[in-house]
Parts: sequence; C-alpha cells; structure tokens
Amino acid sequence: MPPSADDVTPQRGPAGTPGRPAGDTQDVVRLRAALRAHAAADGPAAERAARLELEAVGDPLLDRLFPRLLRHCHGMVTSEGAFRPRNALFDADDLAIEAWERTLRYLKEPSGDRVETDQHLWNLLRCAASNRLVDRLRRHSDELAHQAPQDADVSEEERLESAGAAAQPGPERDALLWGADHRGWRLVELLFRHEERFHVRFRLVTDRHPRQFRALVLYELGALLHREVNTPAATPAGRRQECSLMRRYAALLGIPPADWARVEQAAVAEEEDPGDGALIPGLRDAVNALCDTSVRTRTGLTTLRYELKRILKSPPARALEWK
Amino acid sequence: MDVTTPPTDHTVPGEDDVLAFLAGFADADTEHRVLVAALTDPALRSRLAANGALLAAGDAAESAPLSSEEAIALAARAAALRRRPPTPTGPGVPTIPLADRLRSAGRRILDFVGGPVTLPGLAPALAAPPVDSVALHRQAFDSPDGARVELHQLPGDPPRLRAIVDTGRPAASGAFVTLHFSDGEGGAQAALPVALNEQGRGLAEAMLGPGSDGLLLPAREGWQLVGVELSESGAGGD
Repeated sequence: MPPSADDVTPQRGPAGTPGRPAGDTQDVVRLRAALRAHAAADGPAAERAARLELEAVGDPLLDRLFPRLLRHCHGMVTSEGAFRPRNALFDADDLAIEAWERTLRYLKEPSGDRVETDQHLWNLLRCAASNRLVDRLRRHSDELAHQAPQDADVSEEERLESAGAAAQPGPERDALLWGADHRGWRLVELLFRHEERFHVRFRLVTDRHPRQFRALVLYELGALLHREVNTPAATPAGRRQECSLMRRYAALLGIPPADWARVEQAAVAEEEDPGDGALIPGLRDAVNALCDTSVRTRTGLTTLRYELKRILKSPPARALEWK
Repeated sequence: MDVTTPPTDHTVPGEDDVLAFLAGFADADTEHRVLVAALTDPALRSRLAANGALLAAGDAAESAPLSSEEAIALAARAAALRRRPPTPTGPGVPTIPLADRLRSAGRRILDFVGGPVTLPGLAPALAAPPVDSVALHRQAFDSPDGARVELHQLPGDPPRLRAIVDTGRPAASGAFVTLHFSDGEGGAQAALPVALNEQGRGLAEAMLGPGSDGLLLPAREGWQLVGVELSESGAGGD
C-alpha cells in the first residue's frame, strides 16, 4: 500500500534496489568516491581515468535505476488530484534526468556522506524528482498568478500554498515549540527521557516535580496543534500534515509515542476554543491524566512556563550537552 | 565544546536538508532543524505536503502492474534516455561530463558532413530536368567514422526519395536515425526517420512533390541535409 500523501515520515520506497538488498552500501559508496575523485582530478590523464571509473560505477546503477525512476516520475506528472492540471505541463523524462543530476551533485558534496545505502540513494532520487517538480509547480503557479490573479479555479493544494504564503511565522508560535533551539531540545528530552536526571540536575533551581513541566510541554504542543488544525483555512490534507509533522517532532523531543497519541487525539477532537484564557477541556484532562497532575487554569500554566524558562536560563541548563 | 552557542540554532534548512529529511536519512540535528522550520513556517509545511503527495503518486505508479506494451515502451524510452556512446579514450580526446552526456543521450548528433541535396526531383516541377525512367539519381554523405547516408531518387510520378543509412556498427532493437533537412533559409525544415536493423543499417522512402499531404519534402530547390541524429544510440555499440 503506498504511503499517505500527507505522511512526512521517511519514505522508504516500495522495495530495495532491484536485485539487491535494501541495505547494500557497495554501489553508493563507490559512486560517491568516483564522483569526488572526478571532481578533484587534476590534468587530462587523471580526469580521463576518473571518468572511466565513474562510468564503470555509474552506468550499471543508471541501467538499473533509471527505468524505475522514469516510471516514478511519470506517475508523479500524471497523478490524479489537485496537481494534475499543472503536472501535465511537465515532462517525466526531463524530470528524471534532472533528478539524476541533482542526486549526483548531492552525493559529491559533503552532505552526500549521509547517503549510506543503496536504498538511501533510491530515496534521494525520488525525493529530488518530487522536490524539483514542486519547484516547477510553484514557479508556474507564480507565473499564472501574475497573469491571472482573479483565477477562481483554485485547487486545494494551491489554497494551501496561498495560505502558507500569507501566514507569517511568529515568535509566539516558535516559543510554544519549547525544543526549538538546541538547549530547549535537550532540556525537554531530559524531561521526558531521563526524569530522574532532570530532577537531580535542577533540584536547586526548582522544587517542582518534573511531571508538572511535562504537563506544560504536552499541553502547549497540543494547544498549538489544536489551534492549527482548527484555523478556518486548514484543509483536511493540511490537518493531517500538521499532525504528522507534530508527531515526528514529539518523537524527536523524546515524548513517548503513546503519550503523544493521547494528546493528539484530544487536540484534534472537534472542540471550540473556550476563550477567555481558559484551557481546552479535553486536552487539559488528557494531559492531567497522562502526567498525574491537576493543572486547571491558564495561571497555573503561566507559572510553570515562567519556571521552565528560568530553568532554561540557569547554569545547569547552560551546561547541557547538546550532542 | 561550548554548549552555550550551538552553531545551527535557528538556521534555515537548505534544499539538501529538506531532501535528506524527505528521503529519511537526515541526522537528528537536520531533522530537528527542518521540523522546527516546518512547524513555524507554513510555506515549508506546504512544500513538504506537496512532496508527500507527489511521492505517493510516484510510488503508486511504480507498484502498479504494467501491460507488456507499456513495459516495452517504458524500457525503450529509458534506454533512449540513458544510453550513450562509449567514451573515447585516445589522447587529446575531450571528455564530456556524465550529466551532460545523460542530458544529450538519445539525441546523439552524428558527425556527418552535410550539404545541398541536388536530386532533380526536389526542384520545382517546372524547373526540374526530365528524368530518365531508368536512371537512378543518387547522392551520398559520409561521416568521418565510416557511417554513410545515401539518398536515391527513384523513378516514377511523383518521384520518390529513398534514404539508405549504414551506421557501420551494430544497433540495438528499436534504434533509428533521423535525417534533418532544411531549405537553407531557416524557414522550412523536414525530418525523415530511418529505422535501423541489428547491423545498424536502415532504409526509408518518401514521396517528393509539390507539397501535398503525405509528401515528405515539398519539391523546391535549396534543400540541404543539415543533420543526422541517432535517436537511440544502440548503434554506438554500448
């Protein structure tokens, strides 16, 4: 079953490279070395030798992967759905060639060290193709918008893009993420993964139990999700996307998946924002149940927030190793 | 290490980071950077969503069953795009980057010396000299590496043009050559595809005449053979 269109979980592709196990590293390592050797070759003889090695490594890969990439690109440019009218303007052959070139450039750079297996290489190829197509679609959209700004036939994806372009990231939203900078990230990670160490390290700064700060982080991340999925401009696809990203972010912060699932469920439940500074009842109850706390009011959260920020600025937090 | 000034805080993720994130091999730091940016920047979020939709469509197409005709057509197109002539290895031979060769693969221009086509049937009807019904007018063009194109004007009314191509090398199944003609003024152009057999030889015919339907080359003076394009480089002997 293909992955959901809204899922931003790392996509591994349908299978490993044909005829090879997915974790094989031999080809990609050789290709990367050959690309770098060719880039560094000094003089015609060295360049020619590097070229021959590059072909010896690259051509079998090209033979094996290119038909598959072409089919993938053809599927993208002819896909049903909101993108189709614009996709049809683009050529799968060109897209596949550009994706191949982009992948070679990626491998040649230092970032290419991240590509460790042949499965990574395949994922990079397909993502380079999709990213290139998104670039083209956006450029084409901009051109169309410039030519016909009153076009009423706007797809869901275009509305999403427009909404995205119109909204500006704000400092408040950034702050609500808690782990947005490295020290915050390590602090929250400590809070969720190593509660005892958190307690010991910060016992001179606060006498609160760590679970209260966990409740704060969970509630604020959940409230952020609640606000995003309930904005009038949010589409079903946009909501699923937001949930997927937040799920991945929560996992990175060290929040147990089962705990986050309960928070997410409460956050996306159809529920009006109570306003007047009151907490969202369903989310509040879910967080209190998870953390064994009794946070009832916005004032209580504000106090916790103040104290967690103070912890973040304390010498023990400044000494947090972030690697 | 001084942990008070982590070097990558709040840096905007670049395309490499986004690709690594999407492809699933980003390290934790990169993933963190992309996620924070996506959660605070709706534009990046919508870009990730668009990528997800396209990748899902590509994966679905890839796993869908193919008919034999579709599989053959796909393989032929992939082969035409990815095949290339072998690398010349002699001293002083300039090399071409792999990416450039890939880009030009499938549109290999053979190194022919073109020139005016002087077959009498290509002249306007009134100006055309009488053609002996048994005479065969022919003209040949050669490439430095031994490939040859011959154009024959066959007797008849209207006369026919026969193009015979010999690339001098084995060709892959489905390989063909396209002969490009121009009137020399940059106004009129015509192309004649010639399918190749396994020995790299092929033959095609076209009618000549005053430009009505089904005619390849309207009869006019000044036609030149300006290019010979090997559209599938099986003849290159890969």
